[in-house]
Amino acid sequence: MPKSEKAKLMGESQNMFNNKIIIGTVMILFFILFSVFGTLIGPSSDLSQDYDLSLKPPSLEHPFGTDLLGRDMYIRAVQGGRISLLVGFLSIIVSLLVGLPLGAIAGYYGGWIDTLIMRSADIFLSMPTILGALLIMALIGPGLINILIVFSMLGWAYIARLFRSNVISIKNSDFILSARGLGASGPRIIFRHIAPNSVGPVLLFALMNIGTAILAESVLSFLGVGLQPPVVSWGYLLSESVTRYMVAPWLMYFPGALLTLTVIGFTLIGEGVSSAFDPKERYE
Amino acid sequence: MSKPLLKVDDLSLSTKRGKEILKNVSLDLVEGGSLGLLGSSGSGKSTLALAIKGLTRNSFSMSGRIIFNGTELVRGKIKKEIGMIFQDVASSINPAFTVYDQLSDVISESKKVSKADARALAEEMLINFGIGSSNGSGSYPHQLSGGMKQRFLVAMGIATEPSLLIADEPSSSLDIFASTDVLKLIDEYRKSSGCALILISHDLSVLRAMVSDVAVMDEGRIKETGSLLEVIDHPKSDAAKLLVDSELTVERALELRLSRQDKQADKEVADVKSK
Repeated sequence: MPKSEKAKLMGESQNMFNNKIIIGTVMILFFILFSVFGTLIGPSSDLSQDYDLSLKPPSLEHPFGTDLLGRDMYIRAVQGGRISLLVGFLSIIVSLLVGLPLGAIAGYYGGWIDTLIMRSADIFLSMPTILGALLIMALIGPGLINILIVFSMLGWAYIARLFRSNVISIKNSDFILSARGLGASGPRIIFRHIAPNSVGPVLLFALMNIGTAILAESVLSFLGVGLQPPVVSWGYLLSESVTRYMVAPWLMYFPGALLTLTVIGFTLIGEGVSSAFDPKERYE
Repeated sequence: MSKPLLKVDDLSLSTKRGKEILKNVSLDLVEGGSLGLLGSSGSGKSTLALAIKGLTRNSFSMSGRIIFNGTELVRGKIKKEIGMIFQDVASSINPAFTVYDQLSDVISESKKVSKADARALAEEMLINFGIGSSNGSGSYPHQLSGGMKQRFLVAMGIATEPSLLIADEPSSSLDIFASTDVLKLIDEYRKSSGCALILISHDLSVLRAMVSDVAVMDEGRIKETGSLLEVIDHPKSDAAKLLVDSELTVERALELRLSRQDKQADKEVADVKSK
């Protein structure tokens, strides 16, 4: 058999990476590099206060301008990016690590274990994210670690519920019955047959939620129950800018633009990944 | 005399709410034998097939015994010696993987050969079955035609080299050419391996071509068993009579056509008279 035909038979020569994934990944990689190495490439790495430089607009020396205390906003944006991206990634990774296995077990095995997992999830789902986060933050106090704990606690339930419903819709298909008929074990059926056909929408949801988590952290910081100084995030910088945006709008423009573009980047990756998991869309 | 292979003994199945799906079903099949399960939709043919394969839902209550090769089958314990070709072509193949991957997985699991050997065997089998890229088609399930999908299901069904193959209406959704191809593949495997066959169908012409014995099912019961020719020529039960009568033979088709033409002629005469 010619090599190209064989590759086609094996489904190899197809393009896994569509444009949305590429553009989204480039954007996110840019912001990750910006957050990690931004202080090395910027014109200044000095974050000291200088009242003579208070509220200076963007210039070559201070590309993002300066804040009320004369601190370089570029350096602050770089530092804020580290925290914002960390909160986004970690909270979703923990949510996926907890939510996916629990959703799969609940959906595939059903019965009392499904009831136990889903009623536990309902407790967290019954609270609106921000209000729930405010409540828990009020109980356990502000701070970066506590924000991560709160987002993971609230996030796994959405993932588990979504994945469970996908698993249930797939598990009664004839190809699952056929796999069982060929002697496949429960875990093998979940990983090999159910997950590839049902995890796409969950990953899309999770990737889009990285942006949401970054925004939610911004809201908490904006409301004063999130990060505590000297730790800053893009959301925290935005909250600081609110009182001065009439006189120094650049304080809002740069963190706002970074936040928006990052959320768009994750959304693009999410949509692209969802398409990549759907063979009908991928190999038309 | 051939050795007994399968014995279904007084098998009954009912749902949680007490609805009986199978009622006191008993049947026997010898090694290399062939049995057609004939019956209208909803008569319990597919449920019986799933019960023999060990895939009865856990929520169903079950009584009676299924003995395969001298061993009583336990629900949920799958016998790889029983192969099955499922009815619904569209939903019987995992859409996320190529047919090549799926078949080589089954071969590597059942024959305990290396992945490379399994892939080589799968490739050979797919080409023999006329599935693959030589006709310009891709290899994800949605890229295959209905006939190719059904041929792939046959390949999956026989990949484990079963000694009993259950085919649940393998040709019902296909055109006459594709249907003949599929039945030919099943027949060729039977001839080369000597495996027994349970063929579910409500199409007498398909059963005529493939099986020697038949069991007629209706409302979860076996109403009549016997050799196919005996049942077709002298049906005893109402269910069998109904199925035989409803077969569209050449004679019956001609009768229908003539009666239509008669009506048309009557109508034309009536029109002329009225004018």
